[in-house]
Amino acid sequence: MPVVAPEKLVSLQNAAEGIRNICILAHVDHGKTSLTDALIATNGIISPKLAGKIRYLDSRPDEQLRGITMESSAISLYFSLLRRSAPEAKPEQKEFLINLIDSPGHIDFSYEVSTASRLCDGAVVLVDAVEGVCSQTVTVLRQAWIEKLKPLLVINKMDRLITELKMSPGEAYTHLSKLLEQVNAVMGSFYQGERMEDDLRWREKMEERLNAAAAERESGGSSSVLENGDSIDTTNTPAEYEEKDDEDIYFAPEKNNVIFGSAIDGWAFTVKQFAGLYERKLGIKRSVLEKVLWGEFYLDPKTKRVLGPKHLKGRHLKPMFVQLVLDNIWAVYEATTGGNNGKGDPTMVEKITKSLSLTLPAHILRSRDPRALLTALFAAWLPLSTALLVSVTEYLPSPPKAQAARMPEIIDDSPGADFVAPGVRDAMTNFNVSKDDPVVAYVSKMVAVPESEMPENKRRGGALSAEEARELGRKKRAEIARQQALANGEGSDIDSLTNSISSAAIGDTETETPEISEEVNTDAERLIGFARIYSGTLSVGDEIYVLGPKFTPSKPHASPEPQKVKITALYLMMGRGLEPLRSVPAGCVFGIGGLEGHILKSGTICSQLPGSVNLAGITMGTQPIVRVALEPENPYDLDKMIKGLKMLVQSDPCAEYEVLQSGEHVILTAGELHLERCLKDLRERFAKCEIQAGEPSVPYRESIVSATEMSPPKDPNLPRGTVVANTASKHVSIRLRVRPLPPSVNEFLNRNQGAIKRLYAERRAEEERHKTGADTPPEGDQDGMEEAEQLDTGKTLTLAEFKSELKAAFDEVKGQKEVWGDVIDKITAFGPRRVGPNILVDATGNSICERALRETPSPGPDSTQATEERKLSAHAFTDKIAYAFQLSTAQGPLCAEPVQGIAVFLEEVNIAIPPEEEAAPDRMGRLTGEIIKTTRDSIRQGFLDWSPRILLAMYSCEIQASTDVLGRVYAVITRRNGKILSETLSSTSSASTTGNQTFTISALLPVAESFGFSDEIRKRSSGSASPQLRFMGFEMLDQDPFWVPFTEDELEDLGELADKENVARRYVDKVRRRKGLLVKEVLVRDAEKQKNLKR
Amino acid sequence: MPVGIQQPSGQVKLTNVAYVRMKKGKRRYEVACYKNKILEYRNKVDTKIDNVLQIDKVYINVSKGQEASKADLAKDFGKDKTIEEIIDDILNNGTIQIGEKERQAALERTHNEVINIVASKLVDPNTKRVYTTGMIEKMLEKLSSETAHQQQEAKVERAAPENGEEKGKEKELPKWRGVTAKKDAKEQANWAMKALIAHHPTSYAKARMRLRVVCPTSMLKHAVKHTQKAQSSNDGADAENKPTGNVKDTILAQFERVEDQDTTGDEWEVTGFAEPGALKTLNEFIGGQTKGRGRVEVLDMAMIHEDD
Repeated sequence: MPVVAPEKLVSLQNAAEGIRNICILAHVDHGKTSLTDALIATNGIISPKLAGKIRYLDSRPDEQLRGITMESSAISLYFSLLRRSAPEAKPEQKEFLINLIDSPGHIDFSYEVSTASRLCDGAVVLVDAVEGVCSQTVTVLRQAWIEKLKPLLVINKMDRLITELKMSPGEAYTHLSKLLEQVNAVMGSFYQGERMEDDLRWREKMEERLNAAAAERESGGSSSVLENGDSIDTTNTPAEYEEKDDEDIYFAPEKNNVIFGSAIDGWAFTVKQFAGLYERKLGIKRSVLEKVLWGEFYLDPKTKRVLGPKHLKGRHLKPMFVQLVLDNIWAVYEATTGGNNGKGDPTMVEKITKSLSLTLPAHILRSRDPRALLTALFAAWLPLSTALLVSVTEYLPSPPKAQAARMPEIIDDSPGADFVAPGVRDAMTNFNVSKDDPVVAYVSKMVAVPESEMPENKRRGGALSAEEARELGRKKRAEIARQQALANGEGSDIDSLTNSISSAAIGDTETETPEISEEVNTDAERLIGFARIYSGTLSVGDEIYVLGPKFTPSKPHASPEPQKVKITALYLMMGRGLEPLRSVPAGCVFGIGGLEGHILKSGTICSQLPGSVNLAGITMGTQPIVRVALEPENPYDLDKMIKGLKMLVQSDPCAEYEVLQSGEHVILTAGELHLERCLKDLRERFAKCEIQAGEPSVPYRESIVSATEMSPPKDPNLPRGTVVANTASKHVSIRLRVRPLPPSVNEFLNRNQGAIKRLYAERRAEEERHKTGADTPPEGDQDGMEEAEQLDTGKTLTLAEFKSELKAAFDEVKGQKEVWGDVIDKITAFGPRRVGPNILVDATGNSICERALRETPSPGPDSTQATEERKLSAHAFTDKIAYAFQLSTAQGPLCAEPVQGIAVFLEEVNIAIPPEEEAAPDRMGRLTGEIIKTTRDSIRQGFLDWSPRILLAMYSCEIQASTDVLGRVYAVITRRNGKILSETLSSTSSASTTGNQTFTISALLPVAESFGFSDEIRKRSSGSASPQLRFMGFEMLDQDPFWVPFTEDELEDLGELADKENVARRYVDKVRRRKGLLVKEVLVRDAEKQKNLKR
Repeated sequence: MPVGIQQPSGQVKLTNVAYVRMKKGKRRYEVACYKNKILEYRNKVDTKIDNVLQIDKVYINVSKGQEASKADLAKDFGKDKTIEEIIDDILNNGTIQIGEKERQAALERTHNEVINIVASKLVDPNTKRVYTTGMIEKMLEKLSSETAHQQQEAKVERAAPENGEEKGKEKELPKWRGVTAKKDAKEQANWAMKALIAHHPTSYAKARMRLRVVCPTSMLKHAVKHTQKAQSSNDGADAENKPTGNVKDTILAQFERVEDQDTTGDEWEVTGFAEPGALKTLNEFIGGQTKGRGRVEVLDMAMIHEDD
């Protein structure tokens, strides 16, 4: 077949009626890419012999290697059709441009499907004839339903019924009709769901009206006008719910929206095709045949009349579909590959070719390979491309028609739909193509293309002119200079130089030589937007607005204000290649350059800002859930990796990147397979360095509780948690008490960290004015600041509110009034980082701390020394103690993780500096260190006097699973120390296809155990359950990490060394080991059993 | 029975012995322990003496099997001590041989600790973000291998000392040779940080401390005086022999970046970022100059970038 020149395709873009934008959707391995191959072969891009094997659109090496598609890719195809407008009229040639998008089927890449489907007007949904409806089939059907795409069903891999399952034509027919029922059941469930929603809405509306009418009647009294109005009311709304017709959504072969075929063997047919074939033979009208060829219709062998099942009268006849269609196909298989031990039957082949009046080339007839014969036969008889393309062109709508149907709804669903300018709406629905109409296009994703593959950089051929040669020489010199710079290690210069080189490379299109483009290749990846234009005409050089996904036309100038961007290039997408274009009219799918840095993932481009529409606001079907931390193998490559990550996030609609507080670079991907692809992309294209992926580090918290069974306090003379400590020089002694904070207070403080932060900021500004520090009531001038804060913290409280709520939280605690009653006014500090959920309470008799007094130091209880010295101490020590409090709460005693929920009561600070040492010049400096150390140690000691607990970071996890995999989901959750919160039966879930009920399980899962969780769940449930993880906060693991059996009963039950593993201890030890802290663990369990080194 | 072969009967052979020796009085006592267990005993991780001690006897020489006499023990350890107490004393206070596994564990622990300290104190000066421990570990590994490489080169060069200029420049940088179990982790971490910063000044820097200094306004304009002098004279009048500047300038000089400066009432307050080393200087300075009326507060030990 002749290669179609790109110019031809370009010219076809202007004939909107002849454009079909379709995407190919299916479950993984149902043959999407093979099917596309057959279509590509018709345009002469690949050889028809290789169609179905080469998988042309799987351009990535790993796609080819694994045999699955990972990225959707587009190609534009030319198709011409001879068609008679009337039976006797001369056939006229109709030309079509088919923009085909091949999408991946694996669940990890289902976001690619959602981006692809928005670009198209119609969908070709493939179903494996053997496997039937699979999980992803349902997903893609739903996607098509949501996007209002007109679907076309292809039942693929029919050959498997013959060669693998060895079905008879009759069996195959029943199998196929069952399969069709399955698909229709899925479609029906969508319809049902929508119908129920509609019904509900309708009922609400009716009720509203009735209520309104009733209210009117009451208020209006006895006016005759009312009667009138009422009657109008009832006539306006239909009293009965209007049933929408659901006929057109189902697939039925007689409606020509079902194609049977085998992409690998290159054949496909529709019922219509066969009707055409048999029209003359049977003498039955084509239109009638189309209707009866599928279904329970039989052909009376004597009368040659079509009979319904009623008229069979006990005769055993084959349905017409079996008799006329399947039998023949089976016969071809039998003749070529089936009979005679798979070698075929030449006489039968001859018979078939004769009866079908086909002529096969002699060399194929003589060939030993039966498959070659098979494909040749089918290619002549029932070519796949014809069946598919004819159906596509006839059944699927052209862009003008599709937009007229789809656009109003899509616009209404977009954010701020009421503010969309009527001009834009009109242009989109009515498909206005002229230059003056507003341009609206949707960029579904950014595709990274190596610089060398850009059409500008492809060699145009022809010899170099003198000028070009000089240019080449200049470049070479620049390159040599660059290499020298590299050798000298002058890193700063390199960047600018490479930039100039690459910009030069982009600049002149004609002089590129292969070497240079290779050079450029190693340098850059270009991002191209994958877009569909809805109205107007877009040309290179146009300046258009780029609207982000958060844009809403109601506030067009809200920050970030959309930028105006110049279109630098337009491309025709041809699978691996790109063809440059000058302009693109409405209805096309194309590539767009110049959006780099302006569009992150997806966006809308529009020629006008006010009143434009945001099409990118679709919600992604899948949320990325697999988290891994990335690290370059070579630490010098960190910058490269970060740059690469940013690039990756732009080009991948589903990958997300974040930097944790611990400095880790974490990417979130949709699944393990997706992760693998992202890593490969990073290594080979974006970052170009070795990258390791690992488990992200998990945060913990430490706390204490007052448990019923605790070992006795360390110091029996003091109440629990109290510590009296002397500094090393014995000059200062500190007495403090650690207590657990009541849970209500703890929770309150955790929630309001933002408020505390702000209070600090305010207090710092005000404390000098009001000597009492944070006790000052909020004033008017704080409001501005508050508002500013509110923007980033979301919810903040004023000081008064904060205090009263804190008081309420304290009041909730019963039985400890005397402890917590007056604590609020004595709070000196929060910690750690001055905002955390721990408090330092000044409980000294004379309130030496900051809050109560700062400027007027009062003499201490044992103040017999010089007042000057006393003053110095009071000043100096409080902030040291507060600092020590911050330190000890930032790193708890269990495993140096932040502490939460403790209150430290500073009870006494005694200073006994002997007079002879007072004069020492470095006294202050030395004491500072001593006090910090002592206080920190005593807080830790006090902490451990209670029953310590470790808090685990938790994910709240939602899993939808059907009953048959429920057990396995539970097993995975429990093994990972998860906790099931609830399970509910969701009856209206449309995910249930087989009539199985679906359960929604909500559970808590420790973050520490979540690595690989989603993948495990998916694997164990064969893909039918997929969890959604969301960080929930910290939850206490109610187990003392230091617990060992010590009461008699426990010793009896568990033995001296508790058999059961202490889970809390395990977590603590894991962290301690990671941080290099001492782990109490025996290195050698049985010393005498060590390996004997001598003898 | 064949003649000439003597079966060692009643002889106990100890294998895998680790000695703990202690000098008491004039004698040296030894006990025989299992390897890799003594440190655990000292750390109270393993409290079972049977798991540590091979045989509950005190020796003068374990390898020869010479037991210590009761009289000697009584003389050196005290009469009323039981053998268990003596063994415990020797185990806890004697000189020990550290087993291979113990050494390895200790080294690993120090290593992790060093890495953790370094990771918590170093930031990327461009983004103010911390590095992960993994990154720091790799970087230090690189540094130590580079150092080893350089040393080899240096040896070669010493043999043929020709281009000495280049070598001089290299020598200035602090070298990092990896973690040892002998030194304190903190000390090693400091050295590691120095080395990292010296070798890669563009990508590593010490995290700044956020400090707040409060000082009475009345003292701001005072000239800086010697601390000794301040002790002798109670007003700041005799400052003329030290004309280095006033108190305020000295304080501000310590800050790398001043965030906020404010005078409220009779106190002057400044908040800003300073090198961690500046804290000590400031503390001493303020303590000496203002006689305790000014103070230095640490708001944050290490300023790192945080997401809100």
